[in-house]
Amino acid sequence: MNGSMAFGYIFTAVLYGAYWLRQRRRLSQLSSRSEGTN
Amino acid sequence: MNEKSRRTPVLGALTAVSVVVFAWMCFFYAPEDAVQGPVQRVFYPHVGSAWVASIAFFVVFVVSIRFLVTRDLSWDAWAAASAEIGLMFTSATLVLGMIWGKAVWGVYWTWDPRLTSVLVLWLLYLSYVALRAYVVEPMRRARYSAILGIVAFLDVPIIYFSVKLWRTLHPQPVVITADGPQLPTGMLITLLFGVFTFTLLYFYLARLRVSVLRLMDQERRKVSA
Repeated sequence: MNGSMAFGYIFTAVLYGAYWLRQRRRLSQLSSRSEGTN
Repeated sequence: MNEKSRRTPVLGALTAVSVVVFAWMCFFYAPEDAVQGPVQRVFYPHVGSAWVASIAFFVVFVVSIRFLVTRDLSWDAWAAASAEIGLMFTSATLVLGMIWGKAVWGVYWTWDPRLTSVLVLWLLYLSYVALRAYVVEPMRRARYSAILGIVAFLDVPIIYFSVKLWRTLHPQPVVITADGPQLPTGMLITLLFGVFTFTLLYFYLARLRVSVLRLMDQERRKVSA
């Protein structure tokens, strides 16, 4: 496997994956706070 | 659970399956380019990311107009989510393009019209995200960012036509051409499946982000009430 190509795929996966995880975590925190105050 | 909440996990599952299938196609199904070798495989996520960035910025453009007409902040949430996601996809487009450029042209970057216009787009939406972070009052933030979102979108057609209007190193379109697609079948199917997968990924991430922004807005209103 070509190193540059592997870096490109890993970079893309980490970038999109980190954004997804961050939003999932924030949604979970905000939902539980919202349920707690209702 | 309402109809929209039920659809999000289905969209998420469909996106996850598509991402796995797309990764398999990129490495095992698509034939290796005889001239460029394995580095040509960055072409699939590069084009998919560029496509989704265009969709995301088109959504910013449309919902920004709708916000200015209706003054409904739910359109602003879609604009904010799409701009962030579009910026992220443009970042990946640039990095993947630079990797390919280094292997094929011998340099990571050149001030070519296509590359430069994409960099300008990236800077425009970076300033959009920065503007949103600095303006606190929601209606004012929505109004300013709607104007910037509409103006910034003007760069998207410039990017698309840059390879036709100016002399450029960037490859010409290989799918939408007068003589039909100019790719071997395995490459074309992988490319089209990548575009489909990244489109799903955009809608899934955008819905997720809009949900987060709406809950943040509800929380802010409770605190200020």
